[in-house]
Amino acid sequence: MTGDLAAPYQISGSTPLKAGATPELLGFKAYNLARMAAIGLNVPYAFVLGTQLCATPGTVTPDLWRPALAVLERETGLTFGDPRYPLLLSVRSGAPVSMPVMMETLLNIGLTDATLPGMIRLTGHPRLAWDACRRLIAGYGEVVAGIDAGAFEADLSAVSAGEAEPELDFAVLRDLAGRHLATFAREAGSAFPQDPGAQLQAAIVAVSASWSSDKARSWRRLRNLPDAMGTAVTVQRMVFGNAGGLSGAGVGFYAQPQRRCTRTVGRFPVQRAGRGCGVGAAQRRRARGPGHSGPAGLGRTGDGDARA
Amino acid sequence: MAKRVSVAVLTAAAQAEVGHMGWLLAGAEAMIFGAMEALGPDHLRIGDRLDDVIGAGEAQEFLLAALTLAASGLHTRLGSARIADQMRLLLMRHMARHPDEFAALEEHAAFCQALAEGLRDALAHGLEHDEKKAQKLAGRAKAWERKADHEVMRLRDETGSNTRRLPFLRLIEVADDAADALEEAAFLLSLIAQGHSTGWNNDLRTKLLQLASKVLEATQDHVKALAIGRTLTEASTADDQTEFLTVCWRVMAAERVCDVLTRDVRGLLVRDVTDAATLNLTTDFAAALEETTDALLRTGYGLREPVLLRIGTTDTRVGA
Repeated sequence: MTGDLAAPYQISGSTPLKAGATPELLGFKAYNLARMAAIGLNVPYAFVLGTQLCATPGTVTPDLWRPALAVLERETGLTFGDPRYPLLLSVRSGAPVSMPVMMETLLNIGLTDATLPGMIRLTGHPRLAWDACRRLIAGYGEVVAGIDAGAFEADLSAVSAGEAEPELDFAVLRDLAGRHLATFAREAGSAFPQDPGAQLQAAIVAVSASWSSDKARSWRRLRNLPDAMGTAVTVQRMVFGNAGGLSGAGVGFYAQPQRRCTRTVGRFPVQRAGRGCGVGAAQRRRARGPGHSGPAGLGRTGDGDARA
Repeated sequence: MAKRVSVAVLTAAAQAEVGHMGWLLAGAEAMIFGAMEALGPDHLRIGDRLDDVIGAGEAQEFLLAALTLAASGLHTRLGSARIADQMRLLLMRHMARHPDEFAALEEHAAFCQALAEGLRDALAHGLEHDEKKAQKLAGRAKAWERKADHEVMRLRDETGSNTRRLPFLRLIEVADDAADALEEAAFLLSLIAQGHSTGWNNDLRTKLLQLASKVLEATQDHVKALAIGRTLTEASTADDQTEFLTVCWRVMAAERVCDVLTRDVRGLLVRDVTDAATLNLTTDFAAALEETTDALLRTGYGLREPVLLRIGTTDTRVGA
């Protein structure tokens, strides 16, 4: 990587941290992911569009991220938009300082009518595929198309019959995805995009733009943080916390500053996608339901990635 | 053909500037009947309507392609016999593309996966001690099993006298034994949770969890096999064909693993459990789980035949 981050920064297995990689350029989240990858931890492959790139509207185009995506495809053995082995992506914000809940994240980018059967083929898990699908439509609808979250929550209420979200089976989630598509078309005035490249570009732009949202600006003003820092955008291979009762997503801490102790603690609700674990208002709304601490199988990432 | 399909075909042909002289000279509807007859009774029987068998959309696409083929044949002076041969190949391709018979199997397999995952999760989270949650799972399992059963009945109704769908009907009937066994296991777990897990020590719990995990793995491989199988045609890549067979064989291998695990469970029950109700219910619970993979094994064997027929080979030893 060069010091000015003219190109996306690749995070891949056991690659040493490159010279010049700093939280200011990569954002705090991606910088720490790169450090963890560098010491050999199992970090899903990713590329980062640095703070300088994202600071200038119009700089981030498909021509910028396509080469980095090609590297990601090569490293994962999956292909973005492929109907047989589709690569799905998360698109996450990441400022040089922690700004919890203030910016946006999008999950399951790349899932379309054409790639959904491929996800079922890869995972053997229809519920996971339909859950990912309905989350993408609702998340994309809120963050990119600016649709009120209430419209999607009304769809959820209509199908859930009082059941918690983790209890909804694949058939209900498929029905919900169909309702979300109709809601998206009605509210946005156009159909949900079925072009994975268009999804990714719009997601990067929207997540980058969330740096300038009213709530993010207010938060920085209250903490005397400069607007000039900007946010980076991390595009990362999806791993799933909603792939069954031994799958979860959560947060872990190696110390408890409030209690002045170094005991490792964490909370890992099962059957949760990553948006329910402390980032984003929309995420919190979708994280309702009973949690569970310490299911077996934690420590692995990549549930549902297995190929035949 | 329904009239609206005929009109749609003629409209599309006119828009594509495909004439009908070649069609008439090549034998017109007699050529199509000949192609249908040549497929044999496994695909079509006397009196079958093409749009009933492969669907209106597929029939429309086939007839448009047939008109185009005949027009092109006239232009290149192909001769009616060669056009008739190509027409048979064209019809075979469209017959193979028709995926509806997979839909019921896939839906059924998804319910089996939900059932198996519910059981694996129940054991992982200790539902043998939680009567309320175990009963809730049994209720959900009953609902899923009924929905799976509905798929069987739906395919039975759709199959009627359509002999081409018979292999798929037989498959889903065999697969339904897996759904029944999984629902039975959920019911038995709800009884176990009523205070009949005396003697369930860590060894036994671990072994039962291994068994349930393997059953879940087999149901997911079954889902994968169907997802790959529905896409296979004579034009598929060798990688896809090999992957299909690999997954099928993995489903079948799971039965042997589950057989061993079930015997291990029985050994532990004899060693560690003295309570009669616990012994009886747990034995039946493990047997129901094992029976699931028996049914999936038979389904896996049966699935290879119609899929390999679509690929154009019936040599099931490939990839063995």
